[in-house]
Amino acid sequence: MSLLPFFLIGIVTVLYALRDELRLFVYPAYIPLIVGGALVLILLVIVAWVQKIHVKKHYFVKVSLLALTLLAVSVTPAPLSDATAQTRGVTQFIGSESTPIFRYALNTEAMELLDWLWLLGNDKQPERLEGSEMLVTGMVVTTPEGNMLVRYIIACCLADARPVGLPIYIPDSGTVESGTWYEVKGVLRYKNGSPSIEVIEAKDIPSPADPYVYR
Amino acid sequence: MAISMAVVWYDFFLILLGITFEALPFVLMGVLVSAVLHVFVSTEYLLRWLPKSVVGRMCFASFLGFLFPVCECGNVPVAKRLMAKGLPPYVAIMFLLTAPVVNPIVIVATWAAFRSTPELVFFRVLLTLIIGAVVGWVFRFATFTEVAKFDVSPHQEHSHGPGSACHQNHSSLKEFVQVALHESAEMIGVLLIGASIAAAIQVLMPRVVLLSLAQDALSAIISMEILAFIISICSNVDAFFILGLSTTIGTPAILAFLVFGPMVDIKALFMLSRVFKSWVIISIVLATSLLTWALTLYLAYVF
Repeated sequence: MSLLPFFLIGIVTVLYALRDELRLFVYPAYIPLIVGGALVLILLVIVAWVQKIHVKKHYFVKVSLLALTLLAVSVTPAPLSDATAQTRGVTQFIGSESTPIFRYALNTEAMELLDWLWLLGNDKQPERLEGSEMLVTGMVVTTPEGNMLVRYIIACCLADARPVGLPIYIPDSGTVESGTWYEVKGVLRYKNGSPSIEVIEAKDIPSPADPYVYR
Repeated sequence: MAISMAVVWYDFFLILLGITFEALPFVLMGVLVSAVLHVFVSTEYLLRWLPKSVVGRMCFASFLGFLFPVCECGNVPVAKRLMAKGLPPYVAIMFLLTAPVVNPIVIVATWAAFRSTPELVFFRVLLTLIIGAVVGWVFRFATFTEVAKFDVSPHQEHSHGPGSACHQNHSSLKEFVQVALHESAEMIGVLLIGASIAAAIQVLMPRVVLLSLAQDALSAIISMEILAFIISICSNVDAFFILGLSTTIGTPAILAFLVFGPMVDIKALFMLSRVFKSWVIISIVLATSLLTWALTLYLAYVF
């Protein structure tokens, strides 16, 4: 029975994979590897139970794993909140080595937030895009510099989740809440030399099933 | 602007779970290989392959990690066992320094975490080999009695590989599973501690603090060496841990963390104190930290 924590964490991992929720934690390409690892762990425990092998002591690990399993089961996995973005600081830099996903040459409304960040960061004369219509989704994060619309980029897993985004300016009649996801309809404006979104309409949306961008 | 504590805890938990999920397969890989070797390969058999020349033995030591692809947790007892069986101490020391990095699992794990900077993988291995060689060279005349803290005493050698003298009639499979689970428990414990610290840093440490650490290459490298020493995280998951800081601290400091951490840290020091005398350990710590600093700084200015 002392091996139960290991068995349970394996089961929980497989459950997360089956519910397609592992995507919320790691780069999707690693999911088969993670499921494989979980299955190996489950197998080891089953063999141990059958052969009556005991693993003594290691109390810290067993208790911690049980606690982690309990938390994993009882809490609904959701995207990272705005707290991490506020602490880490939001940047606009997404790097030019990223594969360009700028497919929509004419229809700027079809571009996503990261498409804009790439374009604005890599184009030779991004100011000429001032006035372009934008329709992007992201999470609003309130920083000391003002409100920003943010997405998290993940290279491997949540440990390296990097918030990137653009400042947004809301018309006087509206307010936005930090930590909430919005679909923002607006216009690209350069303020003080930096790009930002001048919001026409911000629609409150539920946090998406696919909140992260994987690079 | 107050950050709600509940939200912070939630993020912390998400990141902790993310790191655990990600690192788990690599931990298990290391454990399985180590268990296979423990059960199926005897140390006498291994020692028959020892080259005669100093250079040959240094090469042997550097790549012995391929056979023992676990972090120092598993390597220290192995080194102790090998030394007791007659392995020259400098070979054992080189093995302890290089094995945690120069093995397929850590190389793959490092590459998996730093796909966008593959040169990091290359330099991690290269620097580890260089530092291992330098320290090994320095210790090449040291004898067992000069450096070892333990006595050579007959002890049970438990393997069933070729050349072993085990006459007991118990199942290899059973022993394999027992060793695998024991090591899993130990490694997962270390992983959870490291993952919690990593998640906490991600969620709690304001960017300002990290940026002040990364003022220039010099201070960033030293800070990362200190961090690596304190964190004591296993080498097959440390790449995932430091990934969280990779955009704030520069690449040379990341490299310093990845090279110095697997060689020396609090956990390893504790284990090494049972094998080597204090002066040996102090020399190793000084040499590796200085060499790491010098080599990464050199790379920082060249690239």
